[in-house]
Amino acid sequence: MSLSGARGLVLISRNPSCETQAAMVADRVHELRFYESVTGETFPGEYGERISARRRGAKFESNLTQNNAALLRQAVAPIYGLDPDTMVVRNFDDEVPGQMVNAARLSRVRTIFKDLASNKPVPELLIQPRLRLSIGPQPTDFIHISPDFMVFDPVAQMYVPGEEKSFIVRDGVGDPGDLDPTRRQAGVQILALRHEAGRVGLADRVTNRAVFVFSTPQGLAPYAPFQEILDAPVREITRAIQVLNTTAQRLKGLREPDNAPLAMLLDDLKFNFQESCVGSCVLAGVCKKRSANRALLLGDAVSDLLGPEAELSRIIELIDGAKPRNAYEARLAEKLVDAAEHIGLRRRVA
Amino acid sequence: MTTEYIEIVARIYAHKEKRAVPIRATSALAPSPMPAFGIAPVRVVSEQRAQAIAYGLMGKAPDVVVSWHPLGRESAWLEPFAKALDDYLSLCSLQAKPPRIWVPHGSALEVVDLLGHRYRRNKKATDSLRCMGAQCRALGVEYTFAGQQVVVVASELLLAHAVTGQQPIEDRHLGALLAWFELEPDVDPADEADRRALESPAAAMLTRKEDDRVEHLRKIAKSRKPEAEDARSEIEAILRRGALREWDLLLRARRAFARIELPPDPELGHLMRASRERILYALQRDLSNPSQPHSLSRRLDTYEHAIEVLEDIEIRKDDIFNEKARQKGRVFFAEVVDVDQPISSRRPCTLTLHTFQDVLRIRPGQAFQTLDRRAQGRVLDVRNGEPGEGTFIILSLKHGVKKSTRPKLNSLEDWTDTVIIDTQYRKHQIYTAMGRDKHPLIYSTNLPPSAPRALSDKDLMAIADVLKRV
Repeated sequence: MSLSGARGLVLISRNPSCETQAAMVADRVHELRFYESVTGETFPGEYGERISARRRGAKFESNLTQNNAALLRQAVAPIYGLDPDTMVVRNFDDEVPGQMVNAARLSRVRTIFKDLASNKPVPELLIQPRLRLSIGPQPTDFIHISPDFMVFDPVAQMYVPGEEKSFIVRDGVGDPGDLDPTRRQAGVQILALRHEAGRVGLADRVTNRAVFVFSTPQGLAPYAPFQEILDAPVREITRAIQVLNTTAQRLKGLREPDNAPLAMLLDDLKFNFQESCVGSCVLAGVCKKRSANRALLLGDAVSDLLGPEAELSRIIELIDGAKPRNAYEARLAEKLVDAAEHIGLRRRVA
Repeated sequence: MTTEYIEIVARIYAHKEKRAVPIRATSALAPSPMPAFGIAPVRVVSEQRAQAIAYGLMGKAPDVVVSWHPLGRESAWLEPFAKALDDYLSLCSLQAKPPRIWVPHGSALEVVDLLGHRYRRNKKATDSLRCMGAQCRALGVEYTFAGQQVVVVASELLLAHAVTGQQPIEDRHLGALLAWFELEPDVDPADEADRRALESPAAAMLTRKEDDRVEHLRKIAKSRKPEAEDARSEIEAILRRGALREWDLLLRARRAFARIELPPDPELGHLMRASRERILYALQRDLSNPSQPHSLSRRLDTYEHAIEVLEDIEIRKDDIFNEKARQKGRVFFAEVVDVDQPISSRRPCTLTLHTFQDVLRIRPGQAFQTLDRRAQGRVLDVRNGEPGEGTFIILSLKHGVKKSTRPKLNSLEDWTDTVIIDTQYRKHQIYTAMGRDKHPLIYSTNLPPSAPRALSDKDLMAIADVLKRV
């Protein structure tokens, strides 16, 4: 799987200080092949979505969109004061089926936006539309974004992107671990929607909100959808795009004069190993090894308190009573020794 | 020193020593009067629905139930589990003793809780499954109370008592976590933890290879082909193996906890009693989730009270928690430098405490007690001495004024702010009235028309002062 598109931006937004990850996204690397080129070994762990998970997700989505999206219409219509029985649905999966359909779907979406700008009637529900998001200064610096659906808000006279996920909602609450990446993904969609709306002068109608359709504990039926304001994810994705651009420029400079492959440039790129890397970045194990004896090896809390570059061996020396080298170490040693005494790792000195 | 240094130093030491390092002085889990019942489910990928469950009394061989088609409507496969759980919980109810349910990790508890959501009020389910649903839901709710003693999530329990030398996010994998407790010669726990996490990254799930195989077989199993029966048998065998693997993880986690060998807190009996009352009541009544303002408020109050009780016990009885509270200024070490008690063993009794502690979180009106709870009082005033002379705290003693219990002049001891003022009875009355009256300001989505409010002619500040002293 190549690292690009909305997924790449979501990853950068979670760790914007990591140049290595941003470079991987800028280069649109194939993660497994890139891992092999860096380590010379095949990736040892589980990679990608399981077949069963993919099937369940697809089943949930197809349940929502079958029969002219009957379930989805019923679910989202009340939020925007629409009548589910009279909603007009355009399902691009049916209209333009197959692979490599970005351009065709985008073209149809743009026609709808032109109609909207001309105050002509537009469909209330778009399923699997395509949007284009500019991520760099060149005309070719763009990615296609595919919200699961977009629903028309007649009050704002603009669409709201929507995400369908088979995550379970219990007592009206979704799992925070599921919600975070979904919100960021929606953040990318909002920016792409604003970009497209901006082409016909309607950008100011796009607000930072998205609607989520999750599953009930009973099975594949949708839980009552909810709309969220997503100012923070949109801000973080905007920053991720900036980081991506900066890194792409830096990569260009590093590559000269012989267009070196990314794997050869890793030592020149900063990395920022943190807890969120585990399970989300294919190079997490590599960066962990590179972080040996550094505070960031032991997690964000240790890293925040002692500084990510603090040497663990020196910290242990200070706990064991080594003479501090400077005033900072003296203050730190006092706190470390005190803590060690309290948990019995060091005998208390009278 | 900030409190986080304790856990961070422990983590650094665990990394150096290549073993888990305890961060509590006492155990948070009281010994159970009933044998423990274990539940180790295997869930369907990307959701919390069970497809296999290993269960039974811990210490005995588990029983296993499996479903080759967990997303189907058939649920009879759960009946043996429902019966075993009901037998166990009924025995506990009969003996009026709190049950003790062990699950390996949070994901397993989610699966159990989801059984509650799915079956508790399911009209198409059998009575026994609805009963199981209600019991599972009661267990799920009980776990949300601080200090509860009924449901033990093994991974959470281990993490509450010790830290490892890896990242906290890596601790979420029970296999990886156990690598720091199950020490083997010549094996680096960090490497072993990495190996285990890569081998089977998700909790309560089959391995990737097994899962892909099951997914492939399910298509055949659903068909009318002659090989469908074999496919079903193979799926069930894979699921059975997966469930037993989870059960083994649970047993190992329980053993690892036992090896930490922390003495149980002597006051855990309070928590045990509270837990027993809550769970036995919930099991008898099949309570609905609170959804109205009064019931939600009552639930929130119960949560807060449980947190306060737990905090009080931990700060008073566990040296490490005590130290953490001291760093925050919630515990202070002071000398009694003056006692003003006109009549011996009677109120009023005013103590003047003197402390040199830098960080203090004390304000007039706040209640403090000694660690053994024999003396309790409210702060009347806090006076800072000259630089280097410490702080003087004037305390009006409410309890422990008798000569035998009152802190002696020049005695030195710790005082803590974890005084529990139990207003649950009063709040219960308030919420009952609230639910009965259903005032539109609380229950209605539309505001009532404004009406001029008649204010009392009394001095509100004077009333507030009186209330502060209560």
